[in-house]
Amino acid sequence: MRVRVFRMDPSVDKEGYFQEYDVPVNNKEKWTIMDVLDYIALNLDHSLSYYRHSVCNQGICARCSIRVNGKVELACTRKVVEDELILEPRNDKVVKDLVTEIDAPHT
Amino acid sequence: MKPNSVDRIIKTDILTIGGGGASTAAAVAAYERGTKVTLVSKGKVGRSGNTIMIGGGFGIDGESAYKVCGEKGVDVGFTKDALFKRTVQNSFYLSDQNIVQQFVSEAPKAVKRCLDWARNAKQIFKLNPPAPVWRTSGRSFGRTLMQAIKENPGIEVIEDVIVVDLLINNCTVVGALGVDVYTGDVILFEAKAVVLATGGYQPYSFKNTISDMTGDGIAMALRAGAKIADMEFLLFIPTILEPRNIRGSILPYLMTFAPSFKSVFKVVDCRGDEIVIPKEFYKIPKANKLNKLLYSYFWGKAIFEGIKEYGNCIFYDFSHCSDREIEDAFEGLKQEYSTWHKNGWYNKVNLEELKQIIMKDRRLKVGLGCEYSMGGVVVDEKMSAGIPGLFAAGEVTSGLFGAFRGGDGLTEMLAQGFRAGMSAAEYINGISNTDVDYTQIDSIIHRIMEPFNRNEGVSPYKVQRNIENAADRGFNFFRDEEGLQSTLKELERIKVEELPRMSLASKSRRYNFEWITSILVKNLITCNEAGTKAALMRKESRGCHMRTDYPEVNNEEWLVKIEAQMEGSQIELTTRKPIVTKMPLPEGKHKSILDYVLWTL
Repeated sequence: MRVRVFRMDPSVDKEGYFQEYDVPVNNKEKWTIMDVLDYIALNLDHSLSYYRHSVCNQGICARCSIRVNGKVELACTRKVVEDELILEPRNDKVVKDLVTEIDAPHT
Repeated sequence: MKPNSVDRIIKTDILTIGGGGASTAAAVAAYERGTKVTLVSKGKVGRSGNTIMIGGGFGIDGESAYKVCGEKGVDVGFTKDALFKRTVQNSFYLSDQNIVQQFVSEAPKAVKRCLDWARNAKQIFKLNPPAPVWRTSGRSFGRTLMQAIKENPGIEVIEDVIVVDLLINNCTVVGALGVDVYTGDVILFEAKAVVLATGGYQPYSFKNTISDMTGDGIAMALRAGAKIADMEFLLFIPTILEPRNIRGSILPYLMTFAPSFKSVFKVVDCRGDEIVIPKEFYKIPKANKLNKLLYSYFWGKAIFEGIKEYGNCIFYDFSHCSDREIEDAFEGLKQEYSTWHKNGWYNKVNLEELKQIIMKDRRLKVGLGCEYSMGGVVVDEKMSAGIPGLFAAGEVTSGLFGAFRGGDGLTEMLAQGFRAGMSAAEYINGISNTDVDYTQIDSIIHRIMEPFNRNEGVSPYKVQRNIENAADRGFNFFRDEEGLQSTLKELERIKVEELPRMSLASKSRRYNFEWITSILVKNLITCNEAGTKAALMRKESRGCHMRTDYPEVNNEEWLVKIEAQMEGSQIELTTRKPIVTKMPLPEGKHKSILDYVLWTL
């Protein structure tokens, strides 16, 4: 499956760009978007950043939201059902790639 | 003076490390005693750590549930003594009984505080009399912890920072060094005391816990010179293997005691043979945690016998059920969990969808996943970790549950968290200013930055997978000499060939999780090695340590705790008797852990 992923390191890049990966998603196996990202990070491109620290993977912590084919969803709960994916950060406050600035900390 | 490589300095009296219940309780207790408190968490408080992964509930003795927490209709006959006895028996007598005493006597007040936060946060903690146990969900408990922080606004909360190491000066803990995951900034925490509340470790590839249970607190304490113990004991529960989108859900464990699922499914191995638990164990109520041990034993044995061929896999078999029976079972489950979850869901599991899959396939693929580590930092009843300035609370400690946690981890973290906070506040009373050692700071920073300086090598992501695969290979629910030796050999290989060669694809520090992983894998391999070595040393079976080559529970030779400590760069093991305050240690042998369980009933 063709997966297009938004890439940007604001400390270096003026603008973001898309990088394409070929991921062997099997829709019958019911991959999630997190599975796709994990596959890319482990096998294709270690430099890809997406929310991955202290991840519950069960839809509990609700911190892994990204834009999947235009719609903001949790990477860990969203099943892959389509034949092509475009993955983007959920807003334009990009820290790196798919990671955006965190909510205001407790005050 | 600030070394150039430090980006920020945070000065505080007491630093609590962790984002879950133990850290929050410690922070509140210390703050209430007028100290300046900083809580630093890997994720967000109430939205990270293993606390939010809970599926059950937590309990105390019946008398206190009534007298301290005001619950009516609870079984007051389940006394503190009964709770003490049950905890020690379930630990296979490896509990340090001073820690059990602390747990039994201090949990009620701690639980009461937690119930108050929950009420203020409008969260439902449900008690079904007569059992003095409150049921909740991970998300609800998380919101409860956020309420605790909200009610104590003077606690400084630093989130999304991974603590790398403890700072030591003159044999005293004087702070910690951390990395901000988002910016990559190095943060120096100067503190008069530190409370480790970082949770346990989970060395396997198959996960039902939070993703990075790398045993950071345990490994940091060990490096700081503290003792750790009981690392060979890891607790497993049935967990969804497929479908892949809900892998890691602990729903299969909840199904074992959900009233609507009663006897609906059979458990079969990969050859299709039913795995039967003998009748004499039927008297153990389904919700009793002792069943986890039985599943690990009976289901684990069946898995272990075919693991090379089929992997960590069994099936819940519904082939003999009518559609109606499956529908009723799921209807009950939906109702039961609608208190805490979106109607028709259990966390990310769409129950209707899962029901349809089971109606079609008539089976559910399940494996045994590790949910909790009994081992950790050795503490005393004040939660002191044996080094001035260092305290620990919750799953990061050892001592309460010994070889098997038959009690509640939530209660543990609350009871120990409050005590650790109080002890730390007491300790800093006599402490004026502390100085950090800049040589140590420079050396830690040098160490964590090394992977940036290598142009080629091995990715920390691969290293983590290799460490997990090593644990899968021979340090599983069932163990034998050959498997454990093979795990240890592979860990040694990783230490020599891979750790010194870790390199990074991106040289940017901004959300560089490959870099963060290079820091965490060192903790994971340390815990894994300590656990595997202890499992090799313990030539018997006890609690969650089940050896096919040594099935006996051997009190004559092995009713001892295995402790680990650093000697130079090596992990060295020693043994000692558990601390006894009340219940004398039993003698003799039991044929197997099953025999032991029957003996305690």
